[in-house]
Amino acid sequence: MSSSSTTTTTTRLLMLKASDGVTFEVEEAVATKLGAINNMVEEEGSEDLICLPNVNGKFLGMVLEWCKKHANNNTNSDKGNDEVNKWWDKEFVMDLDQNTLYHLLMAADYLSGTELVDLLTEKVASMIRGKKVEEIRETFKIKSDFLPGQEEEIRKKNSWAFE
Amino acid sequence: MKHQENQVEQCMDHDALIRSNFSSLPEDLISLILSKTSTRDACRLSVVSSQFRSAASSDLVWESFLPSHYTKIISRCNKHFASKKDIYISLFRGIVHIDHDNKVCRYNLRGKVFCGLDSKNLTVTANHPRPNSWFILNPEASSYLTVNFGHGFNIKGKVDTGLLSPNTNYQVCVCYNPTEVKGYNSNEFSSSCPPITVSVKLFKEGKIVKTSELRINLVMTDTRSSFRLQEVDKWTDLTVGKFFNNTRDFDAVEVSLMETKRLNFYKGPAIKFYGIGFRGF
Repeated sequence: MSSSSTTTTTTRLLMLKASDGVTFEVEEAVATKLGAINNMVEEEGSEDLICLPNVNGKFLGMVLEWCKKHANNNTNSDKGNDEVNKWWDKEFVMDLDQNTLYHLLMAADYLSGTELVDLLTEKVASMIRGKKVEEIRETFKIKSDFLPGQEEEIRKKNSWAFE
Repeated sequence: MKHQENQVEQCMDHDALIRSNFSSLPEDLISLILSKTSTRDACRLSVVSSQFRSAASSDLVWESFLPSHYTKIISRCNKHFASKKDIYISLFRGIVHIDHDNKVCRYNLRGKVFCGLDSKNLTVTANHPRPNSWFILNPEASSYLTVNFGHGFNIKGKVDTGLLSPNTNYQVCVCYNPTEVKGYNSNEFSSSCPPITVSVKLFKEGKIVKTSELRINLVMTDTRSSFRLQEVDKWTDLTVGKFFNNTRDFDAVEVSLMETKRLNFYKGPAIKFYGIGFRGF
């Protein structure tokens, strides 16, 4: 009986350095949930310190928190874990303010965390569904950059969507 | 020195936080977000800004709204489509002509294919033909064909079920109009119009797998019967059969309308057939 096998396996630790100098020590299995880091690990091999100049420490921390949960929950692959992951994902995005959501999405995209990008874009989509154009502009502070008359033209072309 | 650099970086980060603006998201992320909304949302939001417009018209967005089955229809269509959005609008909000304009297809809002065979696609034969009198193909308006009773007509229309939505319930409907014909008033017409046998045959590799038959009177259709009768502007739309489109068990469906009882008159009352439709639901 090798019951101790789970505790004796040594996992490699990676150091991730964010744009503001904050560093995170994470298990390789967790960090490689991010496609970009997985590529770097495969390419650079022995390098243990990875610099991520495009991600702020606050958001890198959040991305890694998500990775950790998913890496842990994925080790025992039974169906109940899918539910746990879903529930946890829901909690994760529930109270994100718009600013955090935006930066988290940029970070997840930069790090090629496909699943996390999916989760976050779904969250943004849920904020957009059924909303009026003016509401979207206000919520996301977007200014229309159309020439006068241009907007009317697009509205006309897609008139069925405004019915 | 190191410390200063960090401060500068932090300032930049702080700026970025304030500027956080969804319009500065990369366009493919906006497309990904829009692909998770609805077609209506995606169209409406193209008005938000030029970046949204560009993201909202991307193929990535519209591919996600199209059922995977759509390529089977589009590959049989001659028309050139400018984009996936163009394809979506044509299939869901318009109609697409396929097989050299012989059939029409469109999707209903539940994403199920409707396929219509117009009169050009129906074959007409007669058991007791009399030259020049048993049926008239309208040369100028080929949108329908007129068939006289009394000659034992047999009208057939066939479609390959690969064109229809897989694993979906289908209704077969016949679009027609009884006509007023010289010498027969409508009373006489309706009392003398014989029942017609409608058969729906399912084929697998050319062999009949399943047949269902019904007898109906195209003029005296009782709305209380199991047939659903719908008066459309131009024609009557009568549901004459149904089947479950299990593409594993068969590959084609044929509908035929046969006059099985021979009447004494000919050149008599007639039916204008506009076509046969297969409606997924």
